[in-house]
Amino acid sequence: MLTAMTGAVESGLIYAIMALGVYLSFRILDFPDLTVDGSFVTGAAVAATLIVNGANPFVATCLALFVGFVAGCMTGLLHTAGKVNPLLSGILMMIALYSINLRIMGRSNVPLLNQKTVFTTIQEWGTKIGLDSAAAKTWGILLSMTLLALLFKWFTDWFLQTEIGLAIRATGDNPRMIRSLSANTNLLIVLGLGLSNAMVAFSGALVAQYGAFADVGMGIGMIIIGLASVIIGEAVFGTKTIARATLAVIGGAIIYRIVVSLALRVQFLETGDVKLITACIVILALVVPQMVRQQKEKKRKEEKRRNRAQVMAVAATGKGEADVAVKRDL
Amino acid sequence: MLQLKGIYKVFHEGTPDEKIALQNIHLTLRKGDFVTVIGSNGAGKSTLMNLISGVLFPDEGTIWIDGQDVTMMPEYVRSRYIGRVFQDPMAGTAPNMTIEENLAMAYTRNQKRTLRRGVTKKRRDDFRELLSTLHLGLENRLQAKVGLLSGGERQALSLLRRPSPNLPFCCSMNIQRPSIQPERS
Ligand SMILES: Nc1ncnc2c1ncn2[C@@H]1O[C@H](COP(=O)(O)OP(=O)(O)OP(=O)(O)O)[C@@H](O)[C@H]1O
Ligand SMILES: [Mg+2]
Repeated sequence: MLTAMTGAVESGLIYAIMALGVYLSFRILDFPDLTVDGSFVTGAAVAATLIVNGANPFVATCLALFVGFVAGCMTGLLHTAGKVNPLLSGILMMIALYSINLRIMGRSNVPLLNQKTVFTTIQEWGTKIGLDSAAAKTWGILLSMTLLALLFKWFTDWFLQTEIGLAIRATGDNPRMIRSLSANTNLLIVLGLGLSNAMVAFSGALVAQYGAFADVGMGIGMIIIGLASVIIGEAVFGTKTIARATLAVIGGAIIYRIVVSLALRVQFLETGDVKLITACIVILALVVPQMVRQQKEKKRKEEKRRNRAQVMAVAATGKGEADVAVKRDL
Repeated sequence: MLQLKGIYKVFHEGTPDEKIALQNIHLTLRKGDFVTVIGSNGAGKSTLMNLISGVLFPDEGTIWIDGQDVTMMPEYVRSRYIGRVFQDPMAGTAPNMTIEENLAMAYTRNQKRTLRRGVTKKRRDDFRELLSTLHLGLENRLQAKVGLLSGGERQALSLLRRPSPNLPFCCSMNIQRPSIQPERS
């Protein structure tokens, strides 16, 4: 149980970087970018192929980030220069990336067993400072992934406060206004989508190394997982400021993983049901907060009405005679 | 100086919906001129403003700012020379961003936007001073989201977005909303 939990937190932290990317496109740019399903795999494919061919795993992971950036820019260009609708440009890029990913990997699945990955390297460092191999693995991964997720969070927070970052946020919020303030919204959309998909691909590269394989199908539904993390996080932790919202996204990604791993412990459910569970979680996260809000509103109104009725009743019984007196005076 | 020479704008040209919005418009405004454009609904006032600011492009004719032909210059480049207040008070500000962030974006409108912090301490002080000239108490609500402000407060805020006075030309347009235009007989 405990190992399952740490496993959920570990992968939650890795997927949190992807979720931050989705937060950038969906929430900041207000651009429903479906490229994610493809660019996640692109990151995994680039890293896995490079690692199998003997590249340094850290270099491979960083290259994945760069390739993801390019993929995101392509979607942005499709939309801005090509004037293709946002959803469609994402879907087109996702489909195109499927073939590109197959080309990168050369086949549909690249195993990374017994390869030197980011995670085996971290484990090695742990054993070097005297931890036993299991502890080095768990604590090493937990600690390094926490730091990494926080690093990306910090970067996002910082970037969105810069002059360019403010312009990107305004592009998602009121493009007409920021154009009238001499900002090239097309360029900002391309840049924003590039950064978003860079994070997604980086996360994909780490997931491949964590699970010790890259597979062309590993990105299916990734966008929904990202959205689930964003929505759950926002519902639980709130979105008052950017820093709060990005923290919420990380929290949401971890909660999502924990919920899925708990759900899979139910006898009846199988691994193949994960996507269905995900869809249900997203639907719940979208619908429940609304219902809760409506219920609260209703309760508050009822209470107010009751209070008002009470006040009226008191006034009627207590001041009945006074009122009569007043009327008589008139 | 702003000059419009022989401007034509026709919507849906060559279809049954054809609508000539502007026909052979000539206009010259010198520095310091103050002009009010009046016309009935659909007369073409907004179209004229959209042509000047670069949201629309004329079918014929040219537009000049300080001797430079800007007829085909895209809106985001031209807005360097033009201050603009939108007809709709909601259009001039970003609702999900704070007051200070909105002002910071206006502040950097004529410079290249960089990776420097948008709202610095010094700028915040400037904003506070600027806002206090409005006498709306907004200087104490710098971190409030603009979407929470009233329509009038938002409009006042967007009035502060004027380009700096040393720019070649500033065309500030405050178009009355149809709801408060004089009744037509
Ligand atoms: N994008 C467009 N497509 C088609 N016709 C348009 C378009 N924009 C404006 N028109 C037409 O051009 C004419 C001028 O419109 P415009 O918006 O400039 O009027 P206005 O003077 O600003 O009116 P109001 O006082 O109501 O704001 C109108 O007949 C309008 O129907
Ligand atoms: Mg108008």
